[in-house]
Amino acid sequence: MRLDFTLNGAVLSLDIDPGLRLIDLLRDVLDMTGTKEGCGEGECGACTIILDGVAVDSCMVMAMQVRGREVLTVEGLEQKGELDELQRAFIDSGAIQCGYCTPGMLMSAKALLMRTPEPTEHEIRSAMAGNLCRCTGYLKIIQAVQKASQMQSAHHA
Amino acid sequence: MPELRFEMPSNLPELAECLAGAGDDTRLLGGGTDLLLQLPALRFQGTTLIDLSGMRELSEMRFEKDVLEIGANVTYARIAQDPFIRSRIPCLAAMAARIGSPQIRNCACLPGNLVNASPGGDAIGTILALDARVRLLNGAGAIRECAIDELVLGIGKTSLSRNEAIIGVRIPIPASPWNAYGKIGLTPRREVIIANVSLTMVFEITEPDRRIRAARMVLGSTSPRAHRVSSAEALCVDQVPSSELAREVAEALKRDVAGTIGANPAFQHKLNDVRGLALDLFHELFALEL
Repeated sequence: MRLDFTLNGAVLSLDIDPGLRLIDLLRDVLDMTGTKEGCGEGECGACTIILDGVAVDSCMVMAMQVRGREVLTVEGLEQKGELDELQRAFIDSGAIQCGYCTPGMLMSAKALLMRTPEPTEHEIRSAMAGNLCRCTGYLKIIQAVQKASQMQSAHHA
Repeated sequence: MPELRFEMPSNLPELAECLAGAGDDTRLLGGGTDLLLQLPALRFQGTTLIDLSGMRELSEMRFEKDVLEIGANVTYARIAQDPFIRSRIPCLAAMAARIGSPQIRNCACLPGNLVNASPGGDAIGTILALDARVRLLNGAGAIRECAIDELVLGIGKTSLSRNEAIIGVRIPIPASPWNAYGKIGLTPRREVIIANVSLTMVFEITEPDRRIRAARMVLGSTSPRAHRVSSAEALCVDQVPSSELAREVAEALKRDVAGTIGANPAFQHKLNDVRGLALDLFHELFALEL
């Protein structure tokens, strides 16, 4: 079936198997393997992407459901060869260990900062509550999001 | 292997047309967060999915005089964040805010929870407590309404025919915001919690004497389907909220749960859970010392 949608700013028009989930389309068809599949049932958030401005699990969305919509994946965070401030903050804060959950964490955090540029710690914890990490203990991830928020605020001041 | 088929109606007449042709292998796709768990089987069976996500008219919330109509595509995130719902129907906002995770709430909608008909379905109890009615479209293009307890018949069982789709839920707007929702889950996570016990309380209270005229109390996750507890409701009628009343209601709810779960040792923790939940909701609503 024909699928037209916007991926990381680029308009795509593809013929796809309508039985694909969005994560299958990203990873297996488009070879965009930054988005990870963890549980495959909406529990872990590893596959989080941003769909029309909000964080969703790409394992819980059929590929055909993004027709006419805008998808942002972790590959779309980098702009002109520069890491997003959020990615830089994750690195600088040591918020990454094995890294498997990181793309999902980044996308949940990005969705939050797009909506709420200066979130409270409670808002950060709430926004990230659908993402599991089995390495870091979350503290450094929370700190990274706070740091990215401060970097953005300083940048726009 | 047969291929999964995908139909994409964009308005009600097109949806009716899809429903008219629906067979036993047809499923409705809304938010998808329940249905996609079954995707491997659906693919294997060559299922036809009718995708509602492109139907803009189902993405609206309409406030009429005394009724709030929530379209089938309205996500829990929107319900949880809506200022009017938060102020006037806080039980609905609280329920929506505790479904799944932020990612799930950005996709999932009321109908999935209703037709999934799980004993732990959070929305079912709250919709029942609010005396809401479900709007259904059939393959002939006709629309009917039914109460939630006419729709949800048991675990995984509904009265929905294969040629019908839920297109919205009509909720009478409570005259006052004296309503609350709570749940206790089985896991220590703050999100993606499946309810061990859920409770919705809706009070009709007269001012200025602050007397309870009527109460609706619905328990979820303690029986095959969410149910009202008339013994607890009756205790409240013509009473002024008090610590004593809260404790009596909590005990009545506990007795109801005891009657449902019997001696099954795996469920005994629900007794204390429901008591605590009832006291929490009374405290939240009426700031009582408990």
